[in-house]
Amino acid sequence: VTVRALAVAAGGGALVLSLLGAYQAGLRTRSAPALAQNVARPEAQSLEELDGKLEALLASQAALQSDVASLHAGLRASAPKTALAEVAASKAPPESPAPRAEQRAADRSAQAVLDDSVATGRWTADDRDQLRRLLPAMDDEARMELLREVAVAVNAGQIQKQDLRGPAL
Amino acid sequence: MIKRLLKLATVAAAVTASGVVFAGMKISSPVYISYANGSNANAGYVVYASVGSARSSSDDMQYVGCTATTSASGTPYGYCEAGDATGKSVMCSFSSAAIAAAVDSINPMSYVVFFAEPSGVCSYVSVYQASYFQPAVP
Repeated sequence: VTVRALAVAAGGGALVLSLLGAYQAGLRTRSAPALAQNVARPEAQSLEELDGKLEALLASQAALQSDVASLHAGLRASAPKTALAEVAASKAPPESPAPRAEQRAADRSAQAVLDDSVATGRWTADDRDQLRRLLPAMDDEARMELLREVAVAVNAGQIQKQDLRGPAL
Repeated sequence: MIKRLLKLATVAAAVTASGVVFAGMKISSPVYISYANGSNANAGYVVYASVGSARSSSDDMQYVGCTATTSASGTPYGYCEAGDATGKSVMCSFSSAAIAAAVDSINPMSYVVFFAEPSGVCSYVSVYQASYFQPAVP
């Protein structure tokens, strides 16, 4: 009896389990489309919203670019010409300034010292001292030209040190 | 007596050792001026001179030297000059920052070479420093 009762109980359990399994399978089959619909609907809504936001942003960007361009144009038109010239000058290479009156005077005096020395053929301590005083006050180009002329005169023997020991200049 | 001999031996050893200090290659390079191109007097001059040899020469004529200055505007300028034993003098001027830098390196042990162009401009100034050049001494 006991064995039979157990077999019946086991068979009934198996039947219950199989029925429960069939029910769950049917439940899964029915609920899958509904679940898909519930997920798909929010995604579609978000894309539409993002599209809208993107279009709004693009429109804003275009408007801002237009505003910036008009601001630049207005700035160029309203900026003082002197300020623009200063900016351009700051980018341009520096030009050597014209010699000042003091420089021109020093240039002439130094040239006279050399000319007198060449005329006498002597280069004295007084000549050297005069040039030492004048050279720093001269224009750069005139100074180089004078030094070059002194060198040419020395090398050609046109001037020779007279009672002068030490540097020529 | 023994102590005195030891002292003498020590002094003798020191003198012998000090003699080693004066060994080594030594070159005398008096001021030498020549045409830059053979015998062509119109090609400018080249000058070779050791500062120490010029100063130590037995004559009263030789000298070599350069100077470099910077103007108030920042432009470098200067000149080199030399005189040899015969009384010949050569000079050249420059406004090159590179030459000015070379000139600044001249010291009592230097050997100087410079080219004086016919225009009076220094086209080349070279300064050598080496142990075999004679140091400038009083």
